[in-house]
Amino acid sequence: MTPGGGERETQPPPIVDTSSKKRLVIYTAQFSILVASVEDSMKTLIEKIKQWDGYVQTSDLKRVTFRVPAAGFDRAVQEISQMGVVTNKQIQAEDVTRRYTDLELRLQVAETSLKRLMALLEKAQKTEDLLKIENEIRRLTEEIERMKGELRTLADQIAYSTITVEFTAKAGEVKQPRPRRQLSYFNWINQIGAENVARYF
Amino acid sequence: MLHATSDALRTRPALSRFVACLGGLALLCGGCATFRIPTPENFAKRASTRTSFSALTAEEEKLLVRHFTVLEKQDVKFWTEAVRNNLIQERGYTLVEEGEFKTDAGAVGHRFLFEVSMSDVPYRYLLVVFETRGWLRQHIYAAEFLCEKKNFEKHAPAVEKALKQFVP
Repeated sequence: MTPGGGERETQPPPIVDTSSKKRLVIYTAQFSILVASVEDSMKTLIEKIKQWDGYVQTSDLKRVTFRVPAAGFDRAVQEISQMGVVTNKQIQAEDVTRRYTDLELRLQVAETSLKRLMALLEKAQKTEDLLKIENEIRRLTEEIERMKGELRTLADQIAYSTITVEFTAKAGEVKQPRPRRQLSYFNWINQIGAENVARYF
Repeated sequence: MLHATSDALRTRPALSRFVACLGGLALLCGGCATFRIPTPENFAKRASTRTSFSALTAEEEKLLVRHFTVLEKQDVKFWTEAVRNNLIQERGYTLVEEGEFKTDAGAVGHRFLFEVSMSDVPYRYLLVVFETRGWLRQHIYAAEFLCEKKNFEKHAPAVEKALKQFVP
């Protein structure tokens, strides 16, 4: 029984490889996209999230926040950019390598101190000393739990990127094909398209 | 001299036969369609040539399949990217969905579904692209189904079924 937290079960700190020189980065992105049909685009995006091994965190009729494994972040960003006319796109990459390693170090020091205090508690004779050591153990236990929680949150944020996409229906629901800015160098591509099919018949 | 002339006379019919055979082969191949696709249910075949196939529904929704030969040799992934860039970035199409498309015979292509409006009427534009490699050139097959949005669900299954039986 620990003086501070009683029989509280503690989860082990997350395993994040900080031994290599790999940077620990939290990726987040926000998109605002004009689409022909918000409903269809939401359905398509939900399907894509499944394909990316991600999961939806929150969603409403036109906005969805989801998490995807960090390894698939670039692919997700690229595919989302193709879903319509992107009116706003923000991508943040926060390097938390130092914050993570500092936290790990502080946790190790705190755990070593806790072990020493436990040893002192065994040896303490005076009531006054016992109370002081117990108070310190309680404080350290709480501190250790807080740091472990923070490490878990960081590890989760590093492993899974968070992306928010908001769809807006363009006035009139769909877009008119606009005049081409430039013909494709691949001539067969110039020959395909809705307007060419209509003209062909 | 006489000997040479008789040799020439002897070889000429053989040469003529060879040339005639080549011509026949060329005509035969020239007349062959470069792909096969059945007419989808509830469609009327309009034309079927060596390099194109077209059909219409009663509502005049249009299916057009064409064969293009190109010099640039690349895989479906490359052409998919080129089509996506051109239709979305250059022509302002809206991508509704996309993914791999596999025929019953195992040919793998890429399927796009776009939305676009023409004369203020919303349309769905289904495009499936396949590629095969030749000695000197690459062959691209583009199957395009242009349909008013309100009729798309009605006809799309028949088009997709026919495309499943597409043989490049």
